[in-house]
Amino acid sequence: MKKGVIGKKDFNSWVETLKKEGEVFGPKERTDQCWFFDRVNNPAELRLDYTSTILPPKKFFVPPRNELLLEFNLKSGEGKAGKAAPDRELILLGIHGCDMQGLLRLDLCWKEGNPDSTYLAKRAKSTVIGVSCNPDEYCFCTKVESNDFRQGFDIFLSDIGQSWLAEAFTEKGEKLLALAKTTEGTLLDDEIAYKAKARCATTKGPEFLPKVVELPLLCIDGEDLPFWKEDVGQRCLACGTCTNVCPTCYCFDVEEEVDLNLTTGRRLRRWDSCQLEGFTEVAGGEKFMRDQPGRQKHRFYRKFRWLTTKYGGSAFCVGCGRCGRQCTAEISIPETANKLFLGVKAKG
Amino acid sequence: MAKPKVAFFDFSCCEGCQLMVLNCEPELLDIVGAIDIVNFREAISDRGEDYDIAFIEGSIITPHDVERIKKIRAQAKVLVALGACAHTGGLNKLRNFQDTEEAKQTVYGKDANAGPFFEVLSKVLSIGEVVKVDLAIPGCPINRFEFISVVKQVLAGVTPTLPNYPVCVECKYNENECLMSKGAICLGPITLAGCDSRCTNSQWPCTGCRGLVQNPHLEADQITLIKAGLTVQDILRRYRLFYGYSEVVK
Ligand code: SF4
Ligand code: SF4
Ligand code: SF4
Ligand code: SF4
Ligand code: SF4
Repeated sequence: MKKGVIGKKDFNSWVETLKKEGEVFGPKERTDQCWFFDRVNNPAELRLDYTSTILPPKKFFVPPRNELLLEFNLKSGEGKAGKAAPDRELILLGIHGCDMQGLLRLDLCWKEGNPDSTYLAKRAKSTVIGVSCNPDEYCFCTKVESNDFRQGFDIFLSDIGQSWLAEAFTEKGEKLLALAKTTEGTLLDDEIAYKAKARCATTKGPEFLPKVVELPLLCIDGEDLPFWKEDVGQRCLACGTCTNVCPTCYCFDVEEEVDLNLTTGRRLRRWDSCQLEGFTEVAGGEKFMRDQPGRQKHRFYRKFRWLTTKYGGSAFCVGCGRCGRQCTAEISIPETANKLFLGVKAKG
Repeated sequence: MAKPKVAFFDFSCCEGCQLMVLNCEPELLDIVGAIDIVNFREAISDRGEDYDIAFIEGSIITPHDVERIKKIRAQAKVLVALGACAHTGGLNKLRNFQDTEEAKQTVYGKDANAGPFFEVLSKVLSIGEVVKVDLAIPGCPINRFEFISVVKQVLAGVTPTLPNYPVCVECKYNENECLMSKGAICLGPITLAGCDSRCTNSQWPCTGCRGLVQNPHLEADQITLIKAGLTVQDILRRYRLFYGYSEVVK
């Protein structure tokens, strides 16, 4: 690992250099307190003190819709796969620990079985530069053990006042860090360690009663608790927001369209959501998941039971807080987890 | 294969949907190349009475309308309801919540009964309430991209599918912050998507012009709207604007 200290006044010129190495994307502010990841044209637009964005970084690897998978010609029977890897390196600058963990979870899923070549090609051509957080009352990464600031990052930047402490964990990262004007060893090691603690930890987060390791079992014991039906299942609007904004949700639908010449056309992918009525509908109109309590349970169990068990341990909720922050019905993971915990406890 | 003959007809409406069709400029040439337009009052003057596909705009409000739409139905192989007024009755259905005579007096004053032209049905009807509709393109006005996509699919001989999810989905695809979180009242969660959330993209709440999504979660919606400060009467008033066709406002 290489580390260096980049003075804040030298930071923007480093970002300018990064733009020569690839396409740089980072957090910007659209309206007051509403952030989104977007192309960095000018380093001054960057808002590295952001809290969270509407959509997570998964949008760079699987866009919300109109992702071209295949172009076809019905007359000649020929098909051409959509372009997978971008021409230039994708440099994501200013990613929080939760979102990095989200990408690592997606990597597991997209690699497995029938690997998704489009996703993997884009991921292979990406560099991720992390940044320390500015948490709000919805963040709960620490509660689900997803506040790592090393794993997966090429570089991690910690705000230490007048400067950024930059740590490079990969070769790619070291190469990019070498382009910055840095000073070395200006910080005592214990000072670094002290600051590091504050880097990704949320202190004002919501109450989260169960321990994350208990959740797979709580899911089994709490399957028949009435709150699924009488509370979250009844309040849920089935709007799909919670899964669209989630860094670990990957479900999609594929549609085909034909041009007016009735010969050429294309196959497109868009995000789908288990919270929507049509999600489990198959030919003939049969639906595997018929009601909203079942759909809510499905989403929660996917995060804390099924994928957790399947991939050996880590929860598939990384605690970013987006679903709770953006749910119109104010349903959140901590709220559901607490109801499950208390419900199972009361059952004895 | 002979080009299909296409006709456009308007009933009670603002004719904004036909205008949206004309707005499809770049694609319009391709569409015109693939079809024969025989009747389109807003764009061409010669009127043909021989057509395969009929696009119908507007609601049915007079006995004369009923006769006319039945004739069109008898002729057309495929009948498409174009826009909210044709599809659900749209805003026109607001009249169904008032006394017909009173409504006429409000609009026409002393001329309210000045001849056969003012003879109206007791209820405003959508096209589907009078004749069989094969397809509908929702919206007030329609989304021209959806119109093009439906035309393409009809010509290709496939049954066009509309989205079966709510506006919130597109609103997130477009990475908008939820307007409800800023105190606005938005009907996005129960309204059928397909407009690309064009209102909320401009910070304007959804008023529901495309009609209800399949199996809307009305109870949940009412819980959130009451939390947002609305009374049951306020909610009903908002729902009536575009859901007048549905049981939910009765
Ligand atoms: S965001 Fe909230 S209301 Fe919408 S589907 Fe998810 S839990 Fe339900
Ligand atoms: S479930 Fe919610 S809090 Fe957890 S990772 Fe997904 S969006 Fe974030
Ligand atoms: S959830 Fe944790 S890692 Fe994510 S932004 Fe909040 S504090 Fe940072
Ligand atoms: S602004 Fe309206 S459409 Fe968008 S997410 Fe909120 S409720 Fe849904
Ligand atoms: S956002 Fe709502 S009101 Fe606006 S066009 Fe779409 S359906 Fe109609």
